[in-house]
Amino acid sequence: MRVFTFIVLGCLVVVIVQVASIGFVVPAAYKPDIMLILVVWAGIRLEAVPGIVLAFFGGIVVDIFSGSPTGLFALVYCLTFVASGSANSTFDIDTPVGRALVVFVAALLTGVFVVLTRWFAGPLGAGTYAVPAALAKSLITGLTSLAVFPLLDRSWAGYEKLVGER
Amino acid sequence: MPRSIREIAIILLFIAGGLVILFSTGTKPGDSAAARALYTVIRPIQHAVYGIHHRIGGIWNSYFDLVGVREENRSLQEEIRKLRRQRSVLLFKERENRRLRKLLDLKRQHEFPSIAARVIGEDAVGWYRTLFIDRGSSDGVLTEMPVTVAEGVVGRVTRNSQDMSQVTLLTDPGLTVGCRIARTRDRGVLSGSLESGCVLRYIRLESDVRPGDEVVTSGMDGIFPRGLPVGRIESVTKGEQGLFLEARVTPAVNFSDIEEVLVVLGRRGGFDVRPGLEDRP
Repeated sequence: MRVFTFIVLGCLVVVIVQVASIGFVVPAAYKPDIMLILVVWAGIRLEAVPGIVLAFFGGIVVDIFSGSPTGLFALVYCLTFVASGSANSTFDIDTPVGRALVVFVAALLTGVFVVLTRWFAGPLGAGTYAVPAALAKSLITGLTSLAVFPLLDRSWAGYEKLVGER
Repeated sequence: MPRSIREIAIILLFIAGGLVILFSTGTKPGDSAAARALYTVIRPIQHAVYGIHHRIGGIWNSYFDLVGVREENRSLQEEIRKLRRQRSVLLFKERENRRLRKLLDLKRQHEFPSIAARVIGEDAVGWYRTLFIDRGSSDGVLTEMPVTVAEGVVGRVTRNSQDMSQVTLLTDPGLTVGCRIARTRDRGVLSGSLESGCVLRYIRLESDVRPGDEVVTSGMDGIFPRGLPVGRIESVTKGEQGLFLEARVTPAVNFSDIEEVLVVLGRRGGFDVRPGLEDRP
């Protein structure tokens, strides 16, 4: 139960940062997807059930606070959670570079997913712009994970210490 | 009392020396040879001693001066900080005042009732061009309602809750607006683009549209009132199938600077756009 409290708190903090504050630092089109980093972190650190709950509800929260069709990010994040969990059990990705690489790839795939759904919905008027934009955004998200991952690890450790066993 | 002739001689020598100095002194002190000799001997010592004294005194005075200056500096810096803070607050208020005045003017100009709202957030992931305002259904704000600022069209309300609404911006590919080129009166459909700016499609091939032309809402979409500024034509090309012209449009609004907006509380059924009505001056 306590892990779920952490999940709720984590999602709330991340969405507040995403919606209200990170835009001051990075232009809106390039801002890092911190919720995605949280999901990849869950794929590496959490067990399957709490992890997928986090991915799903994190996705729903992002869907609510963005212009995406409801459920898009819930789906993408669930897939990301499974993929990052599998990658962690198959390869040794639990290093700063490995984690940043996984986040980069996950952000890129998320971008492809979003652009494809938008492309199906109507003309994007993006031309070749979508590719460098997606690459830049993914790179920024990957680099941000280098700072966010240790922060999440520390928060998780502090939370466990505070509330005791899960 | 002197004990020997030698001692008496030394005493006398000193007295004579004193007398020589006394009687050899001219009108100006220091002019006598004895005085010059004395100065020559004493000067380096005096210089050194004075120098040391001066330095110590200087250090001492500087220390006290510095303490005072530091104190003064600290209080002046604190005052500067306070004044800067006050200045930035005043500038912020002045800018806010100017923006609100513009909104108020715009509100007076609108034929439709409208409500001012404050921007409280932007799209969570940045893949979509949306922002959040602090007005919801409890204030009469509903989905599909147009959102404007003094410079022009901002977008449309796409989701809302009781106290908050989501506005899809003009630059989002998901938003389409019926537009007209102000100079040529040609119609087109404007939609956002993932690249910067917007694209105006379906302009007739014979149109004389040129870069710099102003684009305004036509009112034909039933959502936006006609005549609201949208942007300016940046470039014109032939569409993919060659049946229409397409133009890239620079929005009139700088979306990153928006802090307050005006939601036009139009009827849900849209605005009155009977054929021919939109052409009336």
